[in-house]
Amino acid sequence: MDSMKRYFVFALSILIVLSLTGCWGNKEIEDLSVNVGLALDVGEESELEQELAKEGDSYPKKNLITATLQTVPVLKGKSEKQSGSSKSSSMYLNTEETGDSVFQLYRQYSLRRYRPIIGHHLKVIVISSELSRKMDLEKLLKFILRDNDIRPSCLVLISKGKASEALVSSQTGDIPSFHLRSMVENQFRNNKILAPMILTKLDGIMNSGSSFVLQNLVSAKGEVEFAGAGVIKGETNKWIGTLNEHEVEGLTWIKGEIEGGVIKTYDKSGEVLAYEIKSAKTKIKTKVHGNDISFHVSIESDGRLIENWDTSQVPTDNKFLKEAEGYFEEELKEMLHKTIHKMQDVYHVDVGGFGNKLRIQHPKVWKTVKKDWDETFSQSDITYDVKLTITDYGSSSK
Amino acid sequence: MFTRTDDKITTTQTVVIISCYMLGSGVLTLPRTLTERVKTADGWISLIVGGLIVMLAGICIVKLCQQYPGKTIYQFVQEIVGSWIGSCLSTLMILYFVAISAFQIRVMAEVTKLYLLEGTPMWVIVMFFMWIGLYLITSGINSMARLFEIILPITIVVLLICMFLSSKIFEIDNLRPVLGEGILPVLRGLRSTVFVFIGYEIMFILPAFMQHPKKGVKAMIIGTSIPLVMYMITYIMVVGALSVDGVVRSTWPTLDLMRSFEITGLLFERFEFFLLVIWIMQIFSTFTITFYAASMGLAQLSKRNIQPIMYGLIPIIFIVAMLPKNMNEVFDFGDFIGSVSIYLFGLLPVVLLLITKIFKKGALKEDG
Repeated sequence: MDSMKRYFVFALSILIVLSLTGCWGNKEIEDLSVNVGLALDVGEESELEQELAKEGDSYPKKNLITATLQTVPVLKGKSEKQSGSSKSSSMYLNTEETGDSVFQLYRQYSLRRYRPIIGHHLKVIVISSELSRKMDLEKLLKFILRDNDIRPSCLVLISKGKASEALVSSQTGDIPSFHLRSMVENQFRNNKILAPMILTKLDGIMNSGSSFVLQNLVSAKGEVEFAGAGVIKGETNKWIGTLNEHEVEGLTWIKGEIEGGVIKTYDKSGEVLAYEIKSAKTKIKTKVHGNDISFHVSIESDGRLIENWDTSQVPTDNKFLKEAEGYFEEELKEMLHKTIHKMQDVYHVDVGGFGNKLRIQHPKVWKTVKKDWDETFSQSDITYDVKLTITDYGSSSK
Repeated sequence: MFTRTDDKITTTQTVVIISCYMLGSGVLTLPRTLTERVKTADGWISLIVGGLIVMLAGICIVKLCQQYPGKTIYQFVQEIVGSWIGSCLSTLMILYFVAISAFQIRVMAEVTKLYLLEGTPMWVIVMFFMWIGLYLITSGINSMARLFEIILPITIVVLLICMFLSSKIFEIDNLRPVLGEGILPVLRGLRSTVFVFIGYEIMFILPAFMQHPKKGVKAMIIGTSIPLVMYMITYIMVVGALSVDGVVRSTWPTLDLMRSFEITGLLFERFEFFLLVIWIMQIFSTFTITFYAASMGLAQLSKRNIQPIMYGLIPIIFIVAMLPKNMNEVFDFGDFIGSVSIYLFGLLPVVLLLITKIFKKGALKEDG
């Protein structure tokens, strides 16, 4: 009996040894391609792909989408490291694949690169306005939203030109995807940056059927810039146009998303006047009279007079401050006017969150107008009043 | 016959068991299932009302059990409605508990497979889970209560931290207007709230083990309030971030909320794994308590020793857990359990209580 027990213990300890191997299914992170960015363009095979196709790379597909997968890290040759010539060594690798199913494009990647791709760290998706004009955003993003690795915290941006160009950087050591991701955080410095549209929020908005804006990118010579916003029509989830930077500024005022920024204008003698926004508050009131829906936007802001070129005027003089406030208010009103005009008369969409206000303030009315909201919105009256207060003038009083 | 006089639990332990039972897989899908029915952001009101209703049902159960001190439902139901109907009801309840434990395991396995262990076969996940559960329940309700006492505070803290961190993407507008479409949506949501409060029926069994069965009502109320508050926080944060339209599209909205933000510079950047690991412990507690309830039912019904029955139930629960072929069937299975729960434990205690009140059968026996 005792020996039986000993055998049993022996057998058991062998079993335990099995569990001590740790993770035998592990994959070293250096041996993976970490997908950090994705650019979606209208399907057009690159030269390389065309050549590969000529050599026999073909499978049944429609060339609707060209996906550029940005992966890190890049294999570094030893010689390169030693010589220290960081000139041409980029930190990322862009791989273009053309086809239709986005998921299949991701899997095609494995036919060209030996390190398997993983999606856990996807930071940004850039979609070209050309592609989103033709195709429903939902179709493009369905795979991304379903995938269990890709996180819904991923950022979605629109690019005026080719989306793949937005994922290129001329600065050494810069990874464009990280760059873009971090640039969104600059909202507190500039109100031309919209609140980040992450997949989670986008999914909800697309399902609600309302129109929305996505931050627009322009790129030239390996530099990328946030410039305005792409307008997506809710009914079709397709791109219909852009708001320029000035209009985006107006939009952030309307939406009350301001965390910081500037209002610049000129005084009567044409000299520069600049106002640093310290706080801003927007209230939208909806009024319903029968079939007429109207909105009143009231904006209040505190700020600092940060720049005035006309040196004859001194900010210690209250009269001048009042005058300056008037200039800034005038400028802000102009901005709002342009933005609202663009929304109501040019694109006929509500991207300023007016529908949302109506939904909250008059839920019953909202239910009846919800279906055709963009049109109803275009007909509605919008009035606004702004009140800017200059509270101080920084460290220079003259 | 199965009686263990040493296996008693305190009132706090009773509270903890009730809370741990309620906090199961439900919280992972709650914001979606609730919003699908309510269609506005008023689900949190449904949760309050649902919680109150469940408390009432629970109090009925406790009152009933107090008429038969030291006995579980399986033992006294036959005294109330006769041995035939009694055995049938007991069998139904046993099947119900088996179904819940199987469902919990299955949901746990599905989520684990999707987000944590993609390559691990499902049966491996399920098996280990069941074996450890078996190990726990063989040592009786006291050991279970002690384990739950450790798990529950950790769960509460982790859930609160996770929800608090998500406030970065929280938008109050998504929760407004309150009652914009009147009270009707709130009532529509009641049905799905009941499912997350499944667990009050454990009070059919627990009073028999309580040191002070008189405090059953108090335990019931506190035991339900803890999950109620946690559910409300979860619902509000998830709908606040994902919006009503977004939440209905997400299979596991609570996890999607965690996946929607990263916190840099706080030791951990991603919190869904944190939440998931803690939640697996909660699912484990729900699984063990139902497993225990089912085996005890069988033991008391057949008047046999409980240990072999526990071992015997393992393959049965495993098979039931593996029955649903795809996710839709898993969710349908969950809905089915929810409806059974409403009929079985919503009506039953009231009916039984009425019968005892009218005929005074059990009460007289105990007093005399």
